[in-house]
Parts: sequence; structure tokens; C-alpha cells
Amino acid sequence: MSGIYRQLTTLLLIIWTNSVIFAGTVVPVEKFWFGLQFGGRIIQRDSMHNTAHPDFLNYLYQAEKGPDYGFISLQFRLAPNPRLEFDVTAVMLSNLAPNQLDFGTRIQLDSINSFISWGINNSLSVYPQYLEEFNRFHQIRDTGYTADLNSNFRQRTIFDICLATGPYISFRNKNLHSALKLNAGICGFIPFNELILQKKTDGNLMREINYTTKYSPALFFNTEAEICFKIFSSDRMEAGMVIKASHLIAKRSVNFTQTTATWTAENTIIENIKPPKQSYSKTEFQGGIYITF
Amino acid sequence: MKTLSKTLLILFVANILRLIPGCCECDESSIPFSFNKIDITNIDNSGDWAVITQSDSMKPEAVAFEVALFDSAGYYHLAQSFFSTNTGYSNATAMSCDCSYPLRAIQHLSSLKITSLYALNAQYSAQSDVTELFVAKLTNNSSTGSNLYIPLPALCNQTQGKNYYDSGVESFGLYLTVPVENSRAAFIISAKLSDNRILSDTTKVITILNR
Repeated sequence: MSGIYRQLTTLLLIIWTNSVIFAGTVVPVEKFWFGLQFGGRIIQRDSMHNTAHPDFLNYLYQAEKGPDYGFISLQFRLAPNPRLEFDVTAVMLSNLAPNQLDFGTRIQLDSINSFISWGINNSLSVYPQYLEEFNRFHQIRDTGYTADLNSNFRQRTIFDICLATGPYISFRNKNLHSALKLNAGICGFIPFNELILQKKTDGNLMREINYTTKYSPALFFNTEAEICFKIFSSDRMEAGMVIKASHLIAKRSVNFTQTTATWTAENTIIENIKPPKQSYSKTEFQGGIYITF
Repeated sequence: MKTLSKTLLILFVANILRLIPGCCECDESSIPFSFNKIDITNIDNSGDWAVITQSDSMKPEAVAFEVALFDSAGYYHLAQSFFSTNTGYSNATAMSCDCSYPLRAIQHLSSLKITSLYALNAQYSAQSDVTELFVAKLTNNSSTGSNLYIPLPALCNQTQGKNYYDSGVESFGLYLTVPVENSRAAFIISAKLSDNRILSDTTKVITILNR
């Protein structure tokens, strides 16, 4: 976890430094932006063959058809001046719990002409996804045992935390505003624990397998496009439609410690497992309305 | 405004009155008792969870017993003698708390010894000490929180200074860790207490299935 804090501190320092350098160089005209969007998210990862140990990435939730997750996002932006923009987005999945938060800054470095400008954007994103039925690994492998004495449906929410920075280019005319971002960063799942309790069929033997995952950072690349169409404007406000799409790719794994206790807690074997890295991608598309004032 | 303040005053007084009987103390006393009886029942552990059974047959790898140590005279007389210690005028009890008084055994479990009456396998013949082949699991409210078994010394240690809130019964399961390679099995289970008394009982003769 100390790695997460170090990366957070670095990102906040970058944001703060950039803000100090560029924030005061233009006349402040504060602008507030609010958007309500609906969208879908598709998670894809290579499926690995079962080995002696489970690979948790094999058990990330995937819908049979359509996007894996539908969501509603509420996005707030504050632009203290035209060159600096702060962004906070709260995202709700089907349970309508706002358990995803994205923070971002966008700093305009230069303008090529009155329509095109470019700069740097930074972002911190924490998004949830479901890990479910990983006990299938044991049900297939551990014949002769009741592979999991917990008969409940095994689903848990895991959170992926991503830090990114990269350039953007923005196009703006009278009725249309668009931006293209190219980001690189580090992502990793927040560690979690899972417990499997097993019992031998027709026998007394009991076995407890405790999985404790480790923060396993991975490099990722992310492209993001956003187009805003202005539909209505007045002196004080502007409203329109917004369409966004993003794609993230990474090679990643979930490393973990496996503690296997047989018969008693004193009879324990501890193994550090590093599954091979898999290709992983996250694709999002969303659309909705926005209002600025 | 007057109506509001009057209402609040009435509610305040009502809550103070409710608070008074709520403020009472329960002392830390416990009722002493003595283990003087041991009882053994069979456990069917062939399924996912262990259940008490009247059957005398078991799977070769699922031989298990539940053992209970308790006061054969019952516990009501102990409670009665405990409360009758007050002499003269006793406290009014109309507003006293309903305090529970846990039971505490005068002695604790020092060790367990298990002897097999039949040969278990080639290594363990009849009348051999097979204590080391058993592990235990608590079956009362003193569960350790783990789902696994505990070694027998750990089982004995947890009885020291133990309060029994629900009943004065020390009950636990004993599970054999090796398969029985014989068609029958029976064991003598002896519990040595801290006052050097030994409570002992013999299991029923178990028919081993699939042999």
C-alpha cells in the first residue's frame, strides 16, 4: 500500500506544481461545468489455463452479451481560468452507489490558433468491478473434497486505482468542443482477502486456504475522446450534449500470498504466487447532457 | 413555544425516570461447579458438517466423537446456594438488573488420553495410545473463531479460568486424523483434571463402513 501513497503524493505534487505555474498567467474567468451521462464499460482480459494456483483475473465479471457494466456518471468541472480545469466525476453502477471517483486536472500549455490548443492532463481514478465465483477453480481442481464449504454466491467488489498523466489536444469552434487525450500511468487492484474452507468427502480432513492479494502495479496506456455539441447558449450559461469514449490497455497480474492450513492452524504452508501477466483492457463509451455557467 | 418547552420537559422527566432503573451494577461473581461426569456420543462427519448421530457405523476417515464434561448433579442447586448467601434484610429486587451469573469450573482440563481398544492400522495395535492421532473442535460458545481443528493441548489450555455463560458443560469434538484399517473401532477417552481426578468413558464399538 505504501506504493499507492507514494504515487498519490507524486500526482498531487504534479497537479499542484502545474497549477501554481500556469494558473495565474491569465485573467481569471471562473466557469462551472456539470454533466450527466449514461454509459457502458467492457472489461476484457486473456483467460489463462488453470495451473496449480488460481488467477483472480480469470474471474472478473463478464456479461454474456452487451457491456459488462452500465453506469451513470455525474461530472463536475471547475475552470478558474481558461487555462486550468479541475474535474471530479462520481460514477454509479447498477446498485446506484457512487463507488467510483475520478479526479483530474487539465492545464493548457499553448494555443496553435484560436481553434486548437494543447496541454497536459493528470488523472486519478478508482473504479470498481466484480470478482465472482473464483471458487470454481477449487471445484474443478479439488475433487474428493467439498471444495468450498461457503455455499453463498461468491462475489466481491474489487477496486482498481489508476494514476495517469499525458498530453491532450483540444479543438473548439462556435458550436463544438472536442478533446483527445493520450495518457500513460500506473494501475493496480487494491489488495483484498478471500478464504476457502474445504473438507474431505467422507473424511475428517479440513483445509483452509487464505488468499491475500498484493498491490501489483502495472503500466497502462489510455486514450480518451470527448465531443461536446452546444445546443443552447445565453450570456450566462451554455447547454448541450456530450459524447465520450475511452480505451485502456495494460499487461497485468494479481500477485498474492496463499496460506494453506491443513487440520490445524499450526500446520500451515505459505506460498508467494506471481501469476503470468495477462492482457487487460477497459473500454468505455458514454453520452449525456452538460450545462456550463 | 411554551407548548414545545413543556413537551420537552415531560419527555426529559420521562427519560430520567427510565434511566434510573437502567443504572444498576452487575457484580463479577461466578457460580462455581465441578466436573464429575463425562459423556461420549458419536459424530457423523461424512457430510459437509459434523452432526450428532445415534448410528454406530462410521466411514474409515470420518471417525469422530463428541465429548462432554459436566456436573452430573445439575446446576440449579448451585445457583440456589449462591443466591442464598444474603442474610438479614436483602436488597429490594423490584428494580434490580437481571444479571446473569456465569458458571466457572473449580478445576480445568489438564490433559486427554485416548486409547484404542482395537488395532487402527499396522502401526497402532490394540490397547495403544492414539492421543496424538486426534484433533479437537470446540462445540460450545467458546469457539476460537477458526473453522479448523485445534490440537488437544490447546483444547485443554482454553479451559483454564473459563466462564460458562450458557451452561456448565465443556463439550468438544474429537476427530481421528488417520483412516481406520480395521472393521471395528472403539476408544477409551480419559480426561485428567487439574485436581488430578480422571474422568473416563468408553465409546461404543464402531462398525467401519466400506471394509
